[in-house]
Amino acid sequence: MAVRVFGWMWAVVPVVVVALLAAPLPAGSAQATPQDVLIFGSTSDVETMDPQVTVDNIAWRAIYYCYDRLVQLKGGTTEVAPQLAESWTISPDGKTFTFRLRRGVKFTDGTPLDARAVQFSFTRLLKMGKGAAGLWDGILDASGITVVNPTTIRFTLKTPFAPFLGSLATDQASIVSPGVMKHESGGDMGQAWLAGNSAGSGPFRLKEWRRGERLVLERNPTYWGRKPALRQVIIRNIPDPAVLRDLLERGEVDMGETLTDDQLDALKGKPGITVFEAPSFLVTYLYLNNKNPYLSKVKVRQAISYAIDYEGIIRGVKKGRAVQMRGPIPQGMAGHDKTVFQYTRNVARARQLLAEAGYPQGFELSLLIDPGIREWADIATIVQANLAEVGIKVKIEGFARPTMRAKLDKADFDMATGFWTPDYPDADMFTWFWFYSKNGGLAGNRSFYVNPQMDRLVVAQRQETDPAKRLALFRQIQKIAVEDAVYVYLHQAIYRIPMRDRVRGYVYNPMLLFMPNFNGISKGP
Amino acid sequence: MAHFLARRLLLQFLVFAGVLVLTFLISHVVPGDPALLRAGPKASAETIAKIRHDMGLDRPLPIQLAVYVRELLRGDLGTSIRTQRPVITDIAEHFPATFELTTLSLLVVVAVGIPLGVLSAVRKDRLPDHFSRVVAISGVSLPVFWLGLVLIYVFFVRLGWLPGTGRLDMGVDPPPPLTGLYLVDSVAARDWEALRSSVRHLLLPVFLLSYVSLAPVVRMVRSSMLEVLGQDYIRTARAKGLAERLVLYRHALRNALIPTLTVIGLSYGTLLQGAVVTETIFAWPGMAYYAVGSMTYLDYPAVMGITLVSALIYTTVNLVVDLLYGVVDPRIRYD
Repeated sequence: MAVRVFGWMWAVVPVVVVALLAAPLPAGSAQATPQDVLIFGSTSDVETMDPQVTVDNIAWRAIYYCYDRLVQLKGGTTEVAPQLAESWTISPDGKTFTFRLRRGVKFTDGTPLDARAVQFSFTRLLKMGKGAAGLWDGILDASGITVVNPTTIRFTLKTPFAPFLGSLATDQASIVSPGVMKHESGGDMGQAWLAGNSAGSGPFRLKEWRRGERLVLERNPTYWGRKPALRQVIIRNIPDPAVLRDLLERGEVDMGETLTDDQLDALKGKPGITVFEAPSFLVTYLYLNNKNPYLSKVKVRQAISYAIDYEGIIRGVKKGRAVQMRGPIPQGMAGHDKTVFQYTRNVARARQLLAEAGYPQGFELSLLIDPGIREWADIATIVQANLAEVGIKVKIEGFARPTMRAKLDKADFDMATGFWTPDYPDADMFTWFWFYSKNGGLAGNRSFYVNPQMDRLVVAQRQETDPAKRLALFRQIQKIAVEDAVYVYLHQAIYRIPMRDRVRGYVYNPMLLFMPNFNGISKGP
Repeated sequence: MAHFLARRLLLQFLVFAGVLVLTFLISHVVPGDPALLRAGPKASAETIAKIRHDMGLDRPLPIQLAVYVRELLRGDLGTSIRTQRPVITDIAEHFPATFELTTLSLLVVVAVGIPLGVLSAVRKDRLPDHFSRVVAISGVSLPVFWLGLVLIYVFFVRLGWLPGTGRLDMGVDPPPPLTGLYLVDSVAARDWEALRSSVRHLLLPVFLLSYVSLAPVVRMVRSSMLEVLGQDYIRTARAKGLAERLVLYRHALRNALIPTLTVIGLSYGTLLQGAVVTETIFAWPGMAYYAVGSMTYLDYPAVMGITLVSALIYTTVNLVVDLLYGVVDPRIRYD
C-alpha cells in the first residue's frame, strides 16, 4: 500500500521558507553599533518614567538624564555642586534653604523653568505622596515651598535636616515641567501620561519606548548645558544574562548590567571588553529581630556576630569581591569610623557569650531569605553552618519577594538577609533609618531595635548644622551600634560593570550605581 | 443554532464570572502587600498607609470586588500598580505580540500535527509511526525552558543564524502600527526589511511553542483515524476502487476530525501556558511577559486584567470549536 500521506508541497514549503530567511544571513553577523549611539543592555525593563512615583533603580537609569535637579553630585564624588540652582544660602538654624536659579532654562515642552515650575514640581511630588515622596516625610510639606521671585525659591523645613542639600540631587528631586498638567486625567496630576513620557530639562529626553524591548533616549536639542556626545542611548531589555554576555562579546551591546560574577570573570579577558570595578555603598547585612526573646539579649546578638565567618562569606559567596563592613556606615561615606570595633569569627567567645546569656544548650531561630536572590541563599547556608557550631539551630525560610517584604514589615521573622543602598549621599541613610525606634520595619529599622539614647543621637545628627559636631555624633552612634550588635554587618560589595573598550568617559559615582553618566560618555571609533 | 449559541454564551458568562471572583480572591489573599512594593524599600509607615488607601486596599474585600466589577462594567480594568498606566493600555500594547506568537504556533500545530497523525495511523507500528511518536512524546516531556535555552544556544549563540531575543533587530524600526501584528503591519506597509526581521525573530519561539504542543493533536488524530479506518464504509470505499488519498482525506479524516477539533481547542490553553515560558526565555514582549512581571509585583489590577482577557480568549476559542463541529460534520445538530 504505497500511499503518500504528505503531499510534495509539505516537504517543499518549509525548506523554501528557511532558505529565504536564514540562508542569506551571514553567520554571526556582528554589527558594530554606530559611534554616536550607546546601546545599554539591561536584564529588567523600566516600570514607569515618572520620577515622582518610582523608587526603582532600573527606572531611574532611564529617568535620571531626562531631568535636571537643583543640585548635582560632582563627578565621581558625593559632594554637592550647582545644577539648576546657581547658588544657595542656608539659615543658621538649618531649616531654611534659599536657591537662586539659573536663567533662561526651558523644559523640552517649551515651558520656562522658573521658581514657579520648581514649586509646582515639589508640590506635585508631595501631593501625590507616592514612594518617591517618602524621602521628605515629616521634613517638608507643600506649604514650606515659597516662590520669592521668578529666580528665587525658598524651602522651609519643618525640622532641621542636615542631609537636605544632598537629598536634592536624587532622582525624586527631579524638576518636572508644569506642562504635564495639560495631560491630566481624572485628577492624576498627569501620572498616566508621565509614566510613558518625559517632561524635564535634562541632556536627554524619551524618544521611544517599546515596553519589554527597548527604550530610546535622544539628545535634548534645547539643553542649556554641554551637549552630550551621544545622539541616542538605547536601553535594550535582555532578561537572560547569558544572552546579554554574548551580545557584549559580539559588540552588539556597548555596556550592560547585571551579569553574574562568573560571567564577568569570563568576559574580563575577552578582547575589546573592559570590566570596571570599584567599591560601592551596596551593603549586605543580617537583621536580628529584637522582638524575638532570644535576640532581644545583647549577649546573644554579640555571640551571633562572633560566630559568623565573614571572610568565608566574602570568599565563598562574593569570590573576594567585597570588603567586610566595619560598623554600619560604609567606607567611602563621610562619617565612617575606621577605628570602630569589627567582629571577626571567634567560636569560643561566641559559646561563652551564649552561656553567659543563659543558653549553653543553644536554641532555634529562623532565617528569612528570598531564594530568588542566589547570594542570599548561599549566605544563609553558611550562616546556618556557623551558628550550628555554637549551638544555634537555624531554619532557613524562603519566600518570594513581596511576601518576604510583608513579613519584614510586620516583624514576622527572627533573622533575615538584607541589602541596603543610600538614596542620598549622607551617613544619615545608615544611622537614622537603621536605628531610630520609630522606623521599625521596612522604613529601615529592620532589627526593631529600641534604645532611647540611640534615638536621641540619630535625631541630633540630623539636626546638627556643624559638620565637626555631626562627625562626633556619628562616632558615638557607630560605637553603640557595634557594641549592641544591632545587625550583623557582613560586607560592602564591589560594583562591576562590563563595557566595550570604545566606550569613553565613563565616570563612576557610588551614589549613581545604576545611572551611568550618559551625558559624559562618548564612543571611540 | 440560535438557542445553542444563547446557551453557550450564558455558560461563557458564568465561567467568566467564576474566573473573576476566584482570581480576585486568590490574588488578594496571597500574603504580601503591593503598597509595600510601590512605596519602595525604605518607605515610612505613613507613606505606605497613604498608598494603601489610594489603592483602595484598606477597604473590605467584598467592597473592593464590587468596585472592581462596577469599573469593569464601564470597560475600565483599573490602573496598573507597576506601570501606573491603565491596564487596558498595557494589555493592548502587549497582546498583539502574544496573539501573533500563539496563533502562528497553532497553525503550525494543525499543519504538522494532522498529517503526522494520519501518517502514524496509516503506517501503524512501522517506522513513520515510531518517528511521529518520538516527536510527539519528546515534545511533551522535554521541559519548555530547557529546550528553549538549547535552541537559543545552538541557533543564536553557536551558529548565529537566528536572533535570540525580541521581535525585531535593533536597527529595524517597527512598521507603522495598524494591528500590532508585525507580520500584518509590515506587509501592509510594504516594509520588507521589517517583515524579514520579524519572521526571523518568530522562527525559534514558534518552533518551540508548536513543538511542545504538538503531542495531543498527533495522538488524537492517530487514534481516531485508526478507529475510523476499521469501519465498514472505509472498506466499501476501498472496495469500489477509490484512490487511497481520497479514502484517507475525504472519508476517513473528516470523521476523525471531530475529536481532533476538541483537542485543538483545548491545546490553545496549552499554548497560552507555554507562551509564558517561551516569552520569558525569548524576551518576547507579549502578555505572558507582562503577566510575569505583574505577578512578581503583586500588581492586582494587571493580574486580574490578564486573567480575564485570557479567559475570554480561551472560552471564545472553545466556542468557535463547538460551532465548527457542524461545519465538519453536518449531522451534528445544535438543538
